This record gives sequence, structure tokens and C-alpha cells, in this order.
Amino acid sequence: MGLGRLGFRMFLLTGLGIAVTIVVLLIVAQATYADPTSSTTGPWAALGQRDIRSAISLSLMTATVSSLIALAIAIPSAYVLARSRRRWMKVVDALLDVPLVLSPVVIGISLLLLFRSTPGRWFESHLVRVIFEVPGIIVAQTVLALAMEIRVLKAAFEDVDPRLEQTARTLGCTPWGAFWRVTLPMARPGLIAALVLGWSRALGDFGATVTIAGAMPNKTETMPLAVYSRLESIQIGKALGLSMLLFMIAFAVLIAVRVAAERRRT
Amino acid sequence: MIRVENVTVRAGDYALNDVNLHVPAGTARIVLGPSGTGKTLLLEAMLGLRAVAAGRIFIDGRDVTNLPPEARGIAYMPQDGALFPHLSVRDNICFGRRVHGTLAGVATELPELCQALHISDAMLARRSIASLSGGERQRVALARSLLVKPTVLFLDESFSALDANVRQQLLLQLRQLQQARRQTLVYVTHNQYDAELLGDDVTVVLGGAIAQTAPVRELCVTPANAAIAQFLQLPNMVELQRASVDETFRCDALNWTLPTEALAVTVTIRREACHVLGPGQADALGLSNTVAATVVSVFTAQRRDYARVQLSDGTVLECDVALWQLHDPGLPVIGASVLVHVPSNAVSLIGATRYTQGANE
Repeated sequence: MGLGRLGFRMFLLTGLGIAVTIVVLLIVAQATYADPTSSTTGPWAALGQRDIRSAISLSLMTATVSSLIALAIAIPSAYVLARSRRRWMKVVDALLDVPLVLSPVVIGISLLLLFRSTPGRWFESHLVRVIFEVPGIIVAQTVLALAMEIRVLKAAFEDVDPRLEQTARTLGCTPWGAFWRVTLPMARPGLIAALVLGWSRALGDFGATVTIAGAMPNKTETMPLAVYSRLESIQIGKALGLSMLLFMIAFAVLIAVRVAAERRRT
Repeated sequence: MIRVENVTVRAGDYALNDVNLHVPAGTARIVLGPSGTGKTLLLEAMLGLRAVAAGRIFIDGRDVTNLPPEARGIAYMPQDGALFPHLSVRDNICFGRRVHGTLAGVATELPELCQALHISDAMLARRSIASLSGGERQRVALARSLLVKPTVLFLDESFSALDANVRQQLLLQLRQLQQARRQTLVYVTHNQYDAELLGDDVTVVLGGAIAQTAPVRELCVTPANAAIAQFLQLPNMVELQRASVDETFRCDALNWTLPTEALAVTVTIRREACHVLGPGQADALGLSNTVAATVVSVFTAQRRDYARVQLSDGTVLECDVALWQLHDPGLPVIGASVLVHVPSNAVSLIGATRYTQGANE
């Protein structure tokens, strides 16, 4: 009995130990790497260079815009999914999950083909140019962020007891009023988590962005694209600087989500 | 006032058919019935949360059948109060008034209401509802519902999760407020003791239909049928045959004259009106219609002592022991032979009621 309990504890601790070690090794490998190709620019100094600064500001801008657009679409979609009892809604639910599972490259190809179709060409010639342009990045990132945000928001709306909305209705709220005064404020931690996770999904995207917008330095090159291309051209310092920045952003995002979740519980 | 006319409500395969209900203004109506009988369907239809398949609903003379809940001038308090967890106690209470844009006047009305519902200033000042006890939550929810001055206040098993003491206290406070304000109220519950504390009239819902409506204090005396008597768990339900000799109905050595032409009837015998007698008490008090019985068990219910006694024909009756205790302050011993007196005013014929029976009031 005692041995069984000890064995189980060892099983748990070993798993946790390996998982933590993998992540720590990744960080340590980056932080301690001495760049032999560049004696003048360390990873942090590389962040100051023009092409890298452009990639950082482009990434921050496109991720913010696309995650906000996605949120505006995700709020009503997730609410319908959370409240509807219709059977066919399960199919819709699964359909909206597809971009979450699909490789981003495939999403990029689909978008490319969409904007090469006749309506797509009309859109590009009359409204906004998308392919190999910044709007293309925003479109790709919005699609990716949307699936993530719907998933998180649906769970948040499901946590709001419908009877609270019903009570609000009997106290004089219209359906809009009940949504704005009760549902949305109660789902606020979920809303924040959805936005942050959608933003980080958009920020970290490589495949969809490179497929639809290319990777033109100072034009459509986002941070993950810049990391890859600098690595290819053996500019390790720049690649490392961006990687470490992405690492820190990822960590900050995950902490933010946990804080939001904690506030939801209390 | 609320009037429900020939309403049919459906939920999946389940339906509540052709219901009629009339709750006069200023009265408290209890809708009583076991779980799954359709009383929540009826409530949802009255609230406007569920569309009716047929019929009409009037509140204060206005046809509200197709109006949404917010346009019906009502308030609703669900089972656990359904307080809004993201709002402070004060904001919860003022929610409806804020929505209606009628916060003016709250400054004078709120302290009055809080005093009546025993909501302290400290409770009112709390930033979160998380630290409120079950009873406190219900008080806050009640204050929130009453502050909007609803035409009809609907409550759904609102106090059933509370301790018996807290529940009784809250029900009595609500009754006092309801009577003082002449608030029309509909309280849906499966608990007949709640009904007795709060209601003027009771509507019993059984098997998807209204089985009976009666004043609260009459219901247990004159249930319209055996199903209602069984649901109310009325003690002393006895089947009687008419004796051919003198036309009276008999149970062992007891006999009564009952206002019916039937040959066999089911009656309830109010246990507080039939008595276990001490030695010599029948003669001393001049009581007739007595029978010898054996004490099977003794128990206390609602602060009165009772004995279950068995007659020689096997009938078991629950009887009050107050008279017996005049002779002996203790309780009858199990197995003791006693005399039991059952006066004719203790016997009620099931179904012989002057109150409505069936779906129509």
C-alpha cells in the first residue's frame, strides 16, 4: 500500500519534472547562447535594428487589430453556441473549430484561393488589396484568432446561469439589456482571456501569414517570419532577440490569462 | 390580479392543458404540486419566459399573452435568489429600478424595505454577494423583487434550500409585507407547510392539470379527491362502508352520519380532532363515539404529541393525546389499551367540497 502510494507520487513528479525541464532548457539554450557570427550585436541589441523594429511593430499592430475584429465576431457567435439547444448547432460548433485544428498553412492557401476567385479579385480591386499586403496578414490572423476566441468565450457564456438573464428580463431588461448588464459583465474574465489568447495566436502565426502575405522585410514580415528568415540567413543575433521577445510575451500572456481566470473564480 | 384563461403550455412531449387560474389582486396564491407536475411550466408561461400554445393571460386586466417578460410589470424570484454575482448588494437590490430609470425615490424606499426584511446597513454596504449566507441572499433577492413594485410577484421554490427556522422566519416576514402592501403574489412550491404560512389560497397541480383550488386552511380538511389527499400526505385516510341497519358509515365500533348518498366513501379524519382518552375521561367529559384501541407508537409533529393506535379491525389512526395528558402528563405506553374518541366533525368526505374541482375555477 505504502509502496503503491510512493510509486504513484514518483510517477506524478517524474512527469512534471520532465515537462518543466523541457521548457527551462528551451529558455536556457536561448539565454546562454553566444553568437559566433556577430561580435557586435547581441540578441537584445539586434532588437533595435530597423528591419526587426518594423517586424515587431507590424506584429503588434496586426495582432491587436485582428484579435479585436475576431472578438466582435466571436461574442455573438459564442453566445449563440452556448445558449442554443438545437442539434444542428453541434455541427456549426464543430465547423467553427476547424481553423483551430487545421494547419495555418492550409488556412493561408484557402484564403489565397478565396482572394484569387472572381469575387475575391473584385474585392481586391474595389475595396482593399489583401494578397501580399498588410490587410492579408490581418485577414489570416483574424481567422486564426476567431476560432480560439469563440472556444474560450463559449465556455465563459456557458458559465453564466441563464436564470440570471431570465431574472434580469423579469426585472425590466430587454434581451439586449440583460446581455449588456448581466451576461457580458459576468463573462468579463472569459472575455479578457479570449482576447489575450486570440491576440497571442495571431501574434505567433507563421504559416497562414507567410502564405497569404509573403515575408517582405519592412512590409509584411511579422516577428515569427523574421525569426525564420534571419535564422536562414545566419543572422542568429536577430533571430535570438526576436525569439526571446516572443518567449517573454507568451509568458506574460499566460500569466494574464491565469490572473483573469482567478478573478473569475472569486 | 392575474387571470389565466384556457392556457396550454408545452415543453417537448410534456404539456399542461387548458389551465384556468384566477388570482385576485392583493392575495397570495400558492401553486402546490409534486416535482414534474407542470407547475414550473405554468409559472414560465405567466412570466413570459415560455410561449403558450393556446389561451390567454391577463395581468391587471391587460392581455400580456404575447408580451415579453420585461413588459409585464412583474418580478420573479427563482429558487436560489439568482443574485447577480458581479454586483454589490446595494446594486443588486436597485437593479430593477436602475433598469427602469426610476432610481428617484429609492433613497426613502430602500431603508424601509431593508428594515422590513431585516437587511442591516452592514449587509447593504457589502461589495460582493459571495459572503452572504443562504438566508441573507434570499432577503436581498426579495428586496430586489419588491423594490420594482411589481403588479405580481412570482416566487419559485424560493426558500426551499434554507434551514426550516430561517425559512419560516422569511415566509412570515414576506407574508407580513405582502399583507401590508396588498401585494399580489404567486408562490410555486412542493411544500405544503410553506403554503400554510404564506398563502391565502392554494392551487394544487397534479399530473399536468389543476386538481383543486381552495383556501389554505380548508385544503387539508376537504381535498377534492384521493390523489390530492395522498399528495398532501393527509393522515387517517379511511375507506368506509354504509351500514345497512342505520345508514351510518362505520369503522370498527365508530359510526358517523355523512352527507352522501354513496354506499362506500373515502374520508380523512383530522388527527388533531380525534383523541386518545385516559381512564374514565369518556364518561367524565360525556364523550360518545369511542372505540377500544392499542397504542402502536407515539410521535411529535408541529409541537403536538400524537399516538398511532390500532383498532381491532386493523385500522390504524393517528390521534391527539392532549386529553390523555390531562390524566397523565407523559405519553401513552406502547402496547397500552386505550379508548379513542372520533367526533363527526373530525371526519371529512374526500371530494365533497364546495370548492372547485378540475381544471376550471
